[in-house]
This record gives sequence, structure tokens and C-alpha cells, in this order.
Amino acid sequence: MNASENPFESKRNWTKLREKLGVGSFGIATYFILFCAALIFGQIAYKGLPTFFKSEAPYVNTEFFTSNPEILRVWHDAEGNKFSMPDKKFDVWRRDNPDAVILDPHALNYSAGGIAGPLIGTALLVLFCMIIALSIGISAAIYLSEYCGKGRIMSMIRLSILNLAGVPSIVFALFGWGIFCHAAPAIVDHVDERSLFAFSIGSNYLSFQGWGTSLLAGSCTLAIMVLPVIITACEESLRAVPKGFREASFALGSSQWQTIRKAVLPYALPGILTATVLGITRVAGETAPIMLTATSTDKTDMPMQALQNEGVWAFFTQSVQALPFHIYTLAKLPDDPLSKPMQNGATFAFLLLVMGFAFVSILLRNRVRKKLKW
Amino acid sequence: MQVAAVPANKPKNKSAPTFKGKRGLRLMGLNFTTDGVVKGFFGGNAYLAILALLFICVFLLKSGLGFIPGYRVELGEARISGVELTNKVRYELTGYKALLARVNQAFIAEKRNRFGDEESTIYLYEEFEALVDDEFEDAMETYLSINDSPEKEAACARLCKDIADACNNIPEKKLLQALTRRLPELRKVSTNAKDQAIALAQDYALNDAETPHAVAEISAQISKEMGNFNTAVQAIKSAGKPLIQLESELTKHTAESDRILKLNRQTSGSITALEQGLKKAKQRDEPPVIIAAIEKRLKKSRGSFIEIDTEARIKAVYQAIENHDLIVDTLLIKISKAFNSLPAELENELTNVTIEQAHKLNSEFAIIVAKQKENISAWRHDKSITTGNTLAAFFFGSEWQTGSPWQDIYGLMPLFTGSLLVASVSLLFAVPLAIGAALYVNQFAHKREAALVKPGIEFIQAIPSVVLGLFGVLVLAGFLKDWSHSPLLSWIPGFPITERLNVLLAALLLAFMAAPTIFTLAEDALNNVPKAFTEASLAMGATKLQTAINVILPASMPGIIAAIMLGFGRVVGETMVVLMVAGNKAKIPEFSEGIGIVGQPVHTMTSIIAQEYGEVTEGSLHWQALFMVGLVLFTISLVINSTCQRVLNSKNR
Repeated sequence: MNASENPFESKRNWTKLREKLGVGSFGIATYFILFCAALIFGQIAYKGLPTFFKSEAPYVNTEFFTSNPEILRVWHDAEGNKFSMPDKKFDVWRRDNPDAVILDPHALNYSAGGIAGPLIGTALLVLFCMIIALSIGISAAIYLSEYCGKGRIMSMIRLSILNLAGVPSIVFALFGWGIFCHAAPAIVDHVDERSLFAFSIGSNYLSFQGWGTSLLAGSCTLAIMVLPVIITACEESLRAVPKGFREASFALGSSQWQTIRKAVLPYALPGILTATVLGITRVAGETAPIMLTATSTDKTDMPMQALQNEGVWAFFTQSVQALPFHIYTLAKLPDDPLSKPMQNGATFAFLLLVMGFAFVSILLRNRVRKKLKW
Repeated sequence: MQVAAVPANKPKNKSAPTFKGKRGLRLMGLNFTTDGVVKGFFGGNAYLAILALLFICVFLLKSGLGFIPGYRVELGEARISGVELTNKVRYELTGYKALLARVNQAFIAEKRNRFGDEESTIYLYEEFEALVDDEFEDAMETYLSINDSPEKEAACARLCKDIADACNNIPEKKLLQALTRRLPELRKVSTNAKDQAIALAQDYALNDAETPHAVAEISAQISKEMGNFNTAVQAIKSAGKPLIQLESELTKHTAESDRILKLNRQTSGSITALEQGLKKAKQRDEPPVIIAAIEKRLKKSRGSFIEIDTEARIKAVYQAIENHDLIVDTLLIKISKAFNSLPAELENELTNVTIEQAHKLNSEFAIIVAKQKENISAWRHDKSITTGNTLAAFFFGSEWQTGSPWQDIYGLMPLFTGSLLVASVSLLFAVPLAIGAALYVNQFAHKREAALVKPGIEFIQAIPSVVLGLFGVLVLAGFLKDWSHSPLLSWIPGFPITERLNVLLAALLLAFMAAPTIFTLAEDALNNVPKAFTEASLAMGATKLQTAINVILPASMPGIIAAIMLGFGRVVGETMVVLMVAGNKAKIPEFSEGIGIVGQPVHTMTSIIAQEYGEVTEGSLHWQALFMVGLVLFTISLVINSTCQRVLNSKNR
């Protein structure tokens, strides 16, 4: 027998190695995902940041955030010097220099100006969508969690709402396009040919001809899309309020509405807020629904102009620019180095916007989890 | 100091509470209390939401299902007019054309391998000739005008040197560019060819701008040496002519009757609408002017009805198709003869591979022909089309072809396989990463580390798809193509990839989107495993890794499978990324290429909707077809979601 052999010596070197390898590979998988995210974010930020700033005071490229997308005119003169100028500036410049030599002129769409129009369009879409979705969604959640029992039908309805939360956005887009753009009722002066049916009320007609690609159709589509998410999340946070709160409130003689208002809603409010921000994140990032229902590429003026010139109904039934669709349009531009600043700047701005909302929602959720523990 | 006295007893001016129920507003015999109104308001909103969501299902179903009868009518017309038959011949023709293209490709590859130098000599010479014409015109003239022989010799040497210098001064890149236009995939300009070309160019300059004989000789030599191959290619090319002729003849016969049938359908539609309008107008006692106008339009519509004798027209089609069997049989024989005359083993690897592919295509073509022969002989124009046929044509149709002057074909298969392919390839990447990450965060990571990593990964979920799509188009597409061509990575199956936008690119981006979804749900599932399991396993002496893999993972399997399925659902439903980077080619990917399939462009169910919604008119068949695709997507996602809900719920109990 070999004396040096220690019966208590660990013989599991292989096991240890395997253990380390296994855990290591799981760790690598985790950090690989994060690394990819950092890479993509970094790449977009690196390319997009130069558009946000400029070399002279005030150092921030305010024009990028305050003006609409424009056509960039590109040409060179007889000596071969290259020039590029936004469309409006070009007109002024041309008036001042009527006999300048312009050779090989061409125009690059959306490559000058800024993203004010798309930003405002996205803000309006999100705002109206959230107004519709929250007012319906929160009340529906309250009804489902506070007033309804746990019957078979109710649980089926709950399950189907949960299922609808996972339906692809393009299906909602298709639905919104079919209903809101082509079949929704509108009060009009004269009936369009594509109207499904119409009847007259006074001097006007109520015609089921849809609202066209419009702010209203887009907001409604987005609202319907986000409704299941909001109902589910709000109901969950309402249910998380302990039963004891309600029972105590009832025991003190308050009515159901008083109970909800005083003993349930205040404690569910952080959860509802989280659901709201989550909904905003989802809505702001969606492209397909607004592409079908709300945006058009030939829209160039600010949405407010319609409100001033033509009234409220025209404001809601105009098509708008929106940041995600703007980025999609920019992605299809021909490859030209002069279009890049706008492309990268708009992408980074959009990413920041959505990630900001996501960040707030994650922060809120973590605070809710930490603070409210029963 | 005096403190204000606190009254010992509050005055008892409040009466004792009475237990009377609150009285609300009485309206129409109903007692509206605050509670009742509030409940009604909430309930109303809830039912509004439920109704709206229910309405989606009904609307999709209604719009989509209208497609089936409409498509049935169109298919019926295609059958009566013989368009359907022409399509069958077209399938054969497509197979043949693919074969021919592949053989041609092999021919070019072989030619380049054996005579690449000689050919590039010719093309380089052409470049240099242009240069000489441009820059040495005067020098050439002066040289020709010299008669004195020693001086002439010196001038000759000078001219030759100048030309050689000028030619050598052209940057290699530019030359390569000029060459790759004719000889694609050339990597560098061979010095041998260049020297020869320069010599030829000098010859050209010295001989009063006359193309040297050597050039023609080289071409002749190439075609002579390639003789066998060339005759084989030519034989295959000429063998197809009867088939092409047959197809054009059939097209001529059938397209016209199809057009007339479609026009008549439109006319009869407007006639019925007008008749109804007339009836209504008469009932409502509208002024005679309006009635007369309607009657006039009705008469005009009736007049534009085109009489068509489909029976007579179809006879010509039957006559033309009679020769079909003979034509394709001879074609097959001729092709196999041509293949036999090909040199068996060639030196060039690429040629051999391409010829092998051509052989494969040939056997595929034979199968297509055999199948279509059967189909064609069984085809009868007067067989009616049932709803079952229509459904099969939609769900199993292998073509999605819209907006063409020929028949519009709506077959779901290319889109369905495209969606499935992209989704499964992306899950191949996403699942191991996401589950590994979930195990790490849940089992091995330090608490603080997990608190940082978890929100980090969840954060990824919020990256908008259009941003990822843009990143894919602008950055990743170029990288992927370059990487796939680098010799270091050539061992990976499926590399190099020739298409810029392809399945792999879309799958990588989608994997990045699906990973956080799968991670979050899988982490939840791992969390739900009772602590006792872990403790028991550790108490038995198992290590942490053994516990994680052998105890916790199996115990949470239902939840993890649900997570993967939900990830799949998310990927299948994703629109913008696939629209931007998957290539948008509505064709069933070729599974015969093995793993190389990931390099092909595809179209998916989601992207077809986003791409074609702009070009449809409301209520048309195409519009309904898009809704039908939406309905399929809707069903798939509902099935996946409800299965997952069931799995998750049963586990919680």
C-alpha cells in the first residue's frame, strides 16, 4: 500500500473542473448578451452623438431638434468644390448668388433639417393612445378585479385578454387599418365613394368611410394593441393589494366605491404607474401599426398647422410623421455619406427616448417591489 | 402662564348615525346610487374593452374568410380559360431554365479556370487599346510618318516603353474593376496576362491601330478547347426551344380568354348592382331623370358584355398540349445525352461542384416533368373547383405572386416556411444563450451581480425593432458578408454567403430580441422550483452545477418550454426586422442546400403584410388575402399563447 495516498484527499478534480467550465460557460452566455447590447448601443451612440452637437456655441445642435426634415441640395462648382445646403437655405442663397455655377446638382431626401416633426408626431400618437387606453384599461381592470367574481366566464375572459397581449402587432395593425382607416364612421360634407354606407344628418352625412391614414386611426390602433397589456398589468397590481385592506374598509362601513378609492387604489397606484410607463415604452417603439394607420411619407408640415387652419377634426384626421417610421424611411435611402448624419442622429434620438421610458419603468417597478411588501 | 382650556366635552350636536340606506337619484324606476353608477361605469368600460377585442377576432375572420369564395371564382376562371394548364408548363420551364443557368455557370467557371489568363489577356488588351487610342494617337502618327529605319527603331522602342509605362501606371484596382465586369469573382490581375496584353497593345500601336491576329487566335483557341463543353451547353440550350414555344403558344391562347372572363365578371357585378339600384329608385319614386340615367348605364353595361365560347377556345389549348409529352421526353433525352458528352472529371473544383449541382437539378427537373405530365394528362377544364381545392391552393400553394400581369397566385407556403425558418434559426441562437444566462443569474451569480444583470437584460427588450433593423441593414449586413468571405471562417457550413440580406442576418437580430423574453420567463420558472429540491440535492453531495442541471432544470422544464414557445411567438410575429433585413423574396427556400439555406433571402407572413398593404385596393381579393395571412398569424399566436398559459397555470397549481 502506498503510504502517500491519503484516503481523505479530494479525488474530484475532474468534477471541479467540470463545475468551473459549466458555470463559466453560463456566465459567458450571460455577459455575451449584455456585450452584444452594449456593442449595438455603443455603435449607435458613437455614430449618432456627432449629430447632436456642433463645434460652436451653444454646442448643441438645436436645429436638429427644432426643425422638420428637409431635402439636402448637393452640387459642385466649376473648381470642383463640393457644396451641400438644406432646401430652404438653398433658395435664399440662390437669390443672393444668381450667377453661381452649379454643376451636377442632385437632391437627397430627408438628409437635412431635423426631427421635430417626427418627434411631435410620436408624442401626439403616444399621448392620445395612452389617454384612450388608460381610461378604458384602468376601469376595465378595476371592474375585473373588484366587481367580478371568479366565475368560469370571467376567468375565460381574463385568459383571452392575456392571450391577446401576445398577438403580433402587425395583426393589430391590419385590424386598425381595416376598421379605423377604411370603415370607421365620420361626419362629412360629402360622402366618399368608398363609404360602406351613409345617411344624412341635417346638412352633413354620417358616413362609414373611415378616417384614412390619420392621427386618430393610429392612436386608436395603438390603444387597442396596448389595451390587453394595460388591463393585465393593472389587474395584477390591484390584486396584489391584500384582501385584508378591503375587508377592514368594509368592516368600517364604507361602500365598495369608497373602499376602492381609499383602500385599494392608493396602494395599487405605483403598480398602475409602472404599467403605464411600460405601455408607453411598448407603444413608442412600435413601427408596424403606425406605418399602416397613421403615417405617410409625403407629410411635411407640423401637425399644429392643421389645428390652426382647419379645426379640430382636420387635426385628428391628418396623417402625421412619426419617429420610428421616419427611421424606416431613412433606412431605405440610397447609400450616401451626406445622408448618414440624419440617419444616425434620428436613430440615436429614438433609441434614447424609448430606452428612457424603459429605464423609468424598470426603476419604478423595482421601487414598487421594494417598498410595498405585505 | 395660562393655557387655553381644552373643552372637556365636545358639544353633542351630532345625532347618532342612522342605518338608513343612502338614497340615490331615481330615474326611470331605477335607483342610481353612487356605487351603482361607478360600477356601471367600470363595467361599461370593461365590456367595451372586451367587445373591442372580440371585434378584432370577428373582423379578421370576416375579412379573411371572404377570401376563400373569391379565390375559388378566380381559380375557376383560371381553369376554364386554361391558365392553370399554362402554369403547369411554366413550372417545367422554370425547372429547365434553372438547369440551363447552372450549366452555363459551370461552363463559365471552367472557362475561367482553364483560360482565365488568356481571357483576361483579351479584356486587358481591350482596356489598353482604349488607352492607346486616347493618349498615343499623335505619337502613333509621328511614328508611322518616320521612314528612316534606325530612327524608326528608336521611335519604336520609345513608343513601346511609353505604352508599357502608361499601362503599368494604371492602378491595379481599376484594372481589376474592369476585369470583374466580365469575369466575376476574379481576385487579382495575373502578371502574365498583363504582360501579354501590354505586348499586344504595343503591337496594336505599331501596326497602325490594327487589332493583332493573336487576339482572334486566342479567342478561337479558347472556343476550340472548350469545344465539347460548348457543344453540350449549346445542345441543352437548343433542346429547350420547343418547350419555350409551347409555353408561349399556350399563353397566347389562354391569357385572352382569362382576360375576357374577368371583364365579364366585373360587368355582371356592376349589372346586378345597377339593377338593385334601379329597383330601389323605382320604389322610392325618384325623379324619372335619375331612373333614366340608371337605365342608360345598365344598358351600356349589358352592351359591354363580351360573348365568349370557352369550349371552342379551350380546344386549341388541348391541341397544343397534345405534343407536350413528346416535347418533354425528347428534351429529357437530349439533356441526358448532353450531360453524357461532358468531360467526366475536370480539374477545377468549382466546375465539378457546379456540374454536380446541375446533375441534381436535372434529376429534379425529371421529377417535375414526370409530375406535371401526370397533372397535365389528368387536367380537365370542366372539372369544378371545390372549397377544399381552394383551401388547399391557399395553404399549400407554393407560390405567392401578386401584382403581375399574369394570374395572381396566393400560396401561403413560401411565407410560412420563411417565417418558420427565420424563427427556428433565431431560436437556435437565442435558446442556449438565454437559458444559460437564466441558470447563471438564478443559480450561480452573486446577489448583487444578479441585481445588475437582470434589469440589464430586460432593458434589451425595449430596444425598438426598427432600430435593430436599421443596425442590421447599415452595419451587420456588411460585416456578415465580409466575414463569410474571409478564409478564416470558411470552415463554417453555409459560408460564404452571397446575398447581402438573408435568413441568417434576420435570425441573428431576432435572436437578440427573443433572448430577453426567454431569459425573463425561464428565470421565473427556475425561481418557482421549491427550495427543498435544491437542498435535498446538495445534501446528497451533489455539486451546485449538478444540482442545477440534474434537479432544477428538469423540475422547471414545463416553464422553460413555455418560455421558449413564447419566444418563438414573439419572433414569428416580429415585423420590422424581417421586413428590413430578410431579403423579401417570396419563394420557398431551397432545402436541398443544407445549411447553406441560411444564406438565402426569404419573405415572411408579417413582412408581406407590411410590404403589400400599400398597393391593394379596399375589398379586393389581394386585400382579403392579406387579411387571411393576418388570420393565420393570429391563430398561430393564440395557439402558442394559450398552450403556454395552460402549462404555466397547471404548474402553479
